[in-house]
Amino acid sequence: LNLDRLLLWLSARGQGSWSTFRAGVEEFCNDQTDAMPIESDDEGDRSADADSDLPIYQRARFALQRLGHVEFYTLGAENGWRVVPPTVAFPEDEGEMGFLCGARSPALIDNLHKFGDVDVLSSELEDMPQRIQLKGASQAVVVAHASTLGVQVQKAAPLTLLSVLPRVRDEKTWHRSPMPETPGWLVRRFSVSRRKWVEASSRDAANAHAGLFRFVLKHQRFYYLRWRGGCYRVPVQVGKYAVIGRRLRVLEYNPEKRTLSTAPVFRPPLLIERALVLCSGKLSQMDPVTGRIEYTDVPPNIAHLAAQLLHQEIK
Amino acid sequence: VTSLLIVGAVITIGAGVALGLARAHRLRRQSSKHSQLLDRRERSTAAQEARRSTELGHVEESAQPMPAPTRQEVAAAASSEPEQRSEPPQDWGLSGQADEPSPPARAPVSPEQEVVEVAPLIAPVQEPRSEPSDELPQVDEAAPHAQAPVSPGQEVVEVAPLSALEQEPRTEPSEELPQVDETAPRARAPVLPEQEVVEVAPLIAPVQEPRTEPSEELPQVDEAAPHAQAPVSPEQEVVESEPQSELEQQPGSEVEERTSDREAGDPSGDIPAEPRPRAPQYRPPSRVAPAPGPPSVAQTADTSSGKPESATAGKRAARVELRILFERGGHHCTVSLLPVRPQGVPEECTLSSATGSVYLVALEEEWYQDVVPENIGSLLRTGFVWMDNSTGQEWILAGREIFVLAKGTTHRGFISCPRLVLGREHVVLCTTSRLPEVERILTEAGCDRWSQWGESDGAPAGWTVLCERDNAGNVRGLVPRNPLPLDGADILDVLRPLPEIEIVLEEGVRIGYNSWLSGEPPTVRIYGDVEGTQTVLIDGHEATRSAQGAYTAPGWDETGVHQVWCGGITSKYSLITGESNLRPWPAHSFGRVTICGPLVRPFTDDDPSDRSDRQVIEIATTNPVLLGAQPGEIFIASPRRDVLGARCITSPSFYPIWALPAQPLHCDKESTRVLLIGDFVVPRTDPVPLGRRNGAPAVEHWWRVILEASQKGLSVTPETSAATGLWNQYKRRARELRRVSR
Repeated sequence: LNLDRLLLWLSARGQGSWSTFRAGVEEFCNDQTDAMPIESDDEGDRSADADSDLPIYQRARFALQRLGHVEFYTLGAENGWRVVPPTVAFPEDEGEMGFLCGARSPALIDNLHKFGDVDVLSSELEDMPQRIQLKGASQAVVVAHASTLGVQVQKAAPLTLLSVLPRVRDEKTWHRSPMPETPGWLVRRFSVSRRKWVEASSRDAANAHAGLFRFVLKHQRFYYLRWRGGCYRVPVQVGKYAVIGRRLRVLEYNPEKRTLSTAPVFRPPLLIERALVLCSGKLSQMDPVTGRIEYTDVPPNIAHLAAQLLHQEIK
Repeated sequence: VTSLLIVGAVITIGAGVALGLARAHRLRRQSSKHSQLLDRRERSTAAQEARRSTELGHVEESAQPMPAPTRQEVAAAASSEPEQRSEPPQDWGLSGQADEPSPPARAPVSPEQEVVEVAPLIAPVQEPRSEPSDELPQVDEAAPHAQAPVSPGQEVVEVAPLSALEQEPRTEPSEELPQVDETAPRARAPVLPEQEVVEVAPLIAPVQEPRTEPSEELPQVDEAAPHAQAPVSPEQEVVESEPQSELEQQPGSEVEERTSDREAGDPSGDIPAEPRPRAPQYRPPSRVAPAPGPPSVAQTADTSSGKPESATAGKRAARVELRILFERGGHHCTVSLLPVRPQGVPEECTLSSATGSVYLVALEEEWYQDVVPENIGSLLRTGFVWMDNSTGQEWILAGREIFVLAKGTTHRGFISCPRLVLGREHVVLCTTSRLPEVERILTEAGCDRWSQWGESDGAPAGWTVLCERDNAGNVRGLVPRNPLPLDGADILDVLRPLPEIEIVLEEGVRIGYNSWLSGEPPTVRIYGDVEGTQTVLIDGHEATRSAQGAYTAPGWDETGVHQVWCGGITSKYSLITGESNLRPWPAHSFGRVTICGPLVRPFTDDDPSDRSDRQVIEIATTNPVLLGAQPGEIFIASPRRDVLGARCITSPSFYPIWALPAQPLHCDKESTRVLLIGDFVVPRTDPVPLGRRNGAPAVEHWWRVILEASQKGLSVTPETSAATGLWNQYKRRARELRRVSR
């Protein structure tokens, strides 16, 4: 899945609809195969209605938004996507290396190469656009050059992101919403013990004191969290971590390898995952041995902060 | 003067009545001759034209004769039927105006009257009436009255007809022009939005819809065409409505196929199509040499600036393409149907088919998502017609035994195409019964080797997929090398490449119909009889061909417009920088800060975009009190208590200079300091509010916390004389304010 040209194309257009994005994927992700397992039902957060799409679109979408290149279905991009302005995100406070996020163009990359005291390192990684690292003698040098090109700067991006994010059990961030009452919805409940969705009924959902429920009708898919008698519409990953609490310890951190791992079904919510991804500039990778997804180059303080936000304790 | 006006009005009305009577008689005579020859669309067009002429006020005096049935239709339609006219609102509206002694166009009209008056003019467009009417004089008489009240909205609608008429040589007597001017006030009266829609539709429909009238009707069509904005011949109509890029690929066969599809479609356009008696079958293209004519539009396709109109505009039957995707490793393939999404068709629709219903969801703006019916094998063989019963829109696939699919389109995988093209990668899908013949012709076409995917490999039942697969499992398309002569009207001809030349611009980052992103130019390829290709020029320079078949020339990838020429065919492309001025925006909002990609930025409710460039303030948890240069600028941050290790990030509404502890008098003097976090900005001496109102408490808080820190004797960080001096200035300003407050 080559997303380089797709990102260039998106950057040139700025923003658009979901249909436009799919057209771009069709045109630029010239991968004949469509081998992604259909697991996107648990991935959808805000745009759950897009789950009926072929998986490759979701694959491209999740990659771009986790890396901080493009925002989908957010404020200012309610009906589709919008490209983030070109930004250098430094993973550390005083580090001299930053990742280029957001919009990019051949002209911008050419201009970055023209700076003699900044190294532009590009690396091809699977299922994501080229990771472009800007490395200078110091952070100030990189920041100065980036500013001359109009590129935004974010220092200590992972820590800053996590510092402003609420915890998954912060009820103030949930949107109170009634469940659908019309017939025809296929209802499932997320089983914490079995770690998967199990069949349920609308009555179960209506009478439940707590739990996460999924309502599906055709291509529509909504997630509702029952919590202390209230009903909230939440992103699915927020709902999962809210219901599992500390009963399940799903996060593991290896301080030697500096990797944070979890089961695929417990992938962190988008913005927390973005912070973890920006530690290395790479998407999470599936470990074929353990079957867990791993985030690399995660400092201990970031791992612990992420765990607190997820209401988890690290093993 | 009043008497003269009254007399003039009476004379005008009388003349109108007389002319209307004469015209009604003439129309009656001609109506019987023509009424059966015009279809509904022509009547709508003619009605529209006549209505416009009527509104211009010179219907009777027009030196250019209108088609008689048209006038009759308009007259009959514009006049109300006896029962309808007996209804008070309509009758009152028209006759009441006619009785006005003043010039009708200037008569004050209430909104209710306007609606009533305009409606009869519009009604005939929707429901053309063919019966002759005895009320013609009234219509002619009423027309000037009815034209007067027209809203600005209606004026917009009428711009096109007026301009269309202006393109024609006017032969009306000049004395009629003042009548046109008299109608100017019509642009001030309101008209319902629905009326606009009704009026616009007939102007467009005749141009888009295929024409099936007998040839003897063409002169009449041409006569009406100028009033319908453009005289379009049937041949032009076919060419213009097809996607030009596709025409470039196969000018002959493609048009033939689409035309046959269209013939099978709904000719009336406005009326939902009746169910077809049977599914369409593929018909080989005619090999009769075309008559000499103007250059094909296809050859100039790339010179157009915009994207061509969708081939499926209107109610024409939409295409259903085939797509084949191969799984990684090439062990399995998926054959799916890819329906085109015509303009205006909703994102979701349920279609009725012979075997049930088909649910479509939009893939993008011009396509629906792939569907894989259970009986796809038989559907491909027999063809099918799907129809949306609510709109009458049809989707059609002609049944056949051989499909050719090509790579390099705007979609992933292989998409169905008219025929094999020399040099291009293809997949062939054929029924198992035709497999020996197919393989024989593929060999003749120069395809040296291929693999077969049968039913167990994902091909539909009874079908076989032919494609090439290398040892690594990578799927490559069949690439024909030899042109073959056609063998007549047989489906096998789609496997016989023609020796025609085609310029194709592939890959790159295309950001417009003909424009690519500078730095990501298209790959220029020449398909067809490459051996016979003499010279390829790019911008006049002779191009060189790479091993992969891409042509380049000096400067071919520089920003600007470029032209490719080969064998008399040209194609243009432009390279543009495509820079966009992107700005951060509050994508995710959390309290006083927002997130946009990796950016964490401040946010204020009043104008979030205005402050998006400012950094958020990260402060030490020991110094949560932020002070600005203006007395009263004080902000107390609240460090997060719910998580450990999080930074205290906030965004005060002012530019902070100092960060102080929350309670200077009770802090540890050794470990707590006054932090200079901003620039060296001296305290402002602007007048400050006094008392307990108008922000005075904030001012008091501002000077009090400074004096408490001073009283505690907290040291300043950084420990420089400049910082200390600045802190002393703030202390002096605080003391001044304390004295004033007392």
